[in-house]
Amino acid sequence: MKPHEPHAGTAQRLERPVDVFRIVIFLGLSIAFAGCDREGSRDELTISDVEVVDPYNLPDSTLGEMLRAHFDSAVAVGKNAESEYQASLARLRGQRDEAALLVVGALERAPTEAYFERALMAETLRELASPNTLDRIYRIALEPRREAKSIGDDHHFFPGVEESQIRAITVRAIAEIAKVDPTAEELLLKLAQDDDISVAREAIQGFLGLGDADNRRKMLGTVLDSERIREIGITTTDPKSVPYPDELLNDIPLPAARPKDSPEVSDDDE
Amino acid sequence: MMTNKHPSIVFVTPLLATILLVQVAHGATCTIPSSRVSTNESLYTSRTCNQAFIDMVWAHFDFDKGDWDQGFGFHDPCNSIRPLSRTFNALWLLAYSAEDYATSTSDWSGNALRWGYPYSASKIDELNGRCGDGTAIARTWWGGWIFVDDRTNLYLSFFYNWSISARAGTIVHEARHAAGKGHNGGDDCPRGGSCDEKWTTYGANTYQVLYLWWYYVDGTRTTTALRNLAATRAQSIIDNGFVEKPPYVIN
Repeated sequence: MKPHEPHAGTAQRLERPVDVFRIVIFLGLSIAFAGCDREGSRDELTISDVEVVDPYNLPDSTLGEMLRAHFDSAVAVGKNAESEYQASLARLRGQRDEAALLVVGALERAPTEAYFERALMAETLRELASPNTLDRIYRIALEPRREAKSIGDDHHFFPGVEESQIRAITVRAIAEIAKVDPTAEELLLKLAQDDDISVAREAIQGFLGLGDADNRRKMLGTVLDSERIREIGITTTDPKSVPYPDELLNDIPLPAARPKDSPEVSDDDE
Repeated sequence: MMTNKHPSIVFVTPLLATILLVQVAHGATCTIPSSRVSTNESLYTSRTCNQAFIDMVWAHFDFDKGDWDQGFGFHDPCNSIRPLSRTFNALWLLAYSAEDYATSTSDWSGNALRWGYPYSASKIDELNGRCGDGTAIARTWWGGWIFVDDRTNLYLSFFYNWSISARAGTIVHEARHAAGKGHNGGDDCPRGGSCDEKWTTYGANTYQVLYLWWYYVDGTRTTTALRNLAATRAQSIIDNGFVEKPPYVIN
């Protein structure tokens, strides 16, 4: 009997069941594990009961409408985006104090998880720089930092870091107010001692940016040692000076034709 | 009768069945948090609601209908309440914020603002919309042969907690993971997770900072507000995302 004749092979396999099972086990496990990190059914997102909510919760007044339009303009896109944003700011500055009071109130009321909107409101307070809101902005800048730990394996969201960014922007607002209201200087010196490095840096930069740098550096030295200032870092870096990754270029051409399964934009949409 | 079966099958069959059952587990169901839905992005959607643009990103990032239907926006790609539209908005910002934006995914020249899109398009294997646990932003699997399906999942917090520029920076971050670079700093940085050892390991945090930094410095077709917020985020990553804090100050 020739060893490679079909019947011979079959007979041989039947006589050696262990090999058969080894093959079956190997193939089975390969197939199973090949998909062990793949996902089965897709997630489903329900939006039928969603109510579109104004995250800024502003009053239905003329100024409230102006602020809503301003926040929209802040995230605009296109060649006129910046000029329209600046025009909106100029309109708001015509009612600087009233507008700033509305914004600081909205910021105080905003839900915690509205990180982006809160940051944008803080940025607007910086642009408005109204001394009338100084005390309330300072209280926001002092908000205790939340626990900044990664949550689960799906990382990259750190509530404490989001809070830190909002606080840093409010410190920048205080620095702007300090240009016209000397009482804000003292608050900057206090915030310069904050444990949060991002908050402390904004306070130090804002304080030193008020002029008479030599004298202010001495004042700063009475509350912070030079090692802490060095650790914080206060000198702006040119991004062209930082080390840059040097990756090989890949040649991946643009697709020649429309993908078969991309979603359709209807005439009504465009 | 058991006596007619090879002993291995007694153990292997339940094992295989278990593994296969785990694979076909049902997907999650989630609801968009209503307080997180704003109408702000309608201005971006006016740009991304364009068949040619959608077709381009659909191909570059290997989107699949099955990963973006069931509420995620496949059937309503111009609705900025839906995750798909909000992802398109971030990709638009990623693609076109440089004055001389790249017109080919093979063009990685210039600064990070310019190569952010082509780099991400080249590295990300597929981009999926998912629910997540309510706090997750994104996760990338990479390096798979037959054991791992290379992919990047985007979760609810990506769509609804972050600005468009922050989302664009996250895509660059995830693209670096997709290129095979994981975080190597454990939890030893100030934020306690997703830490890179240092700037010059050129991990995902370095890439994300570079993109946001250059968006702040050179970003066009956008506003000072978004650029300032990008700078704040980039500085925050510098301050909190590295074991050995880079000595850089953005502004």
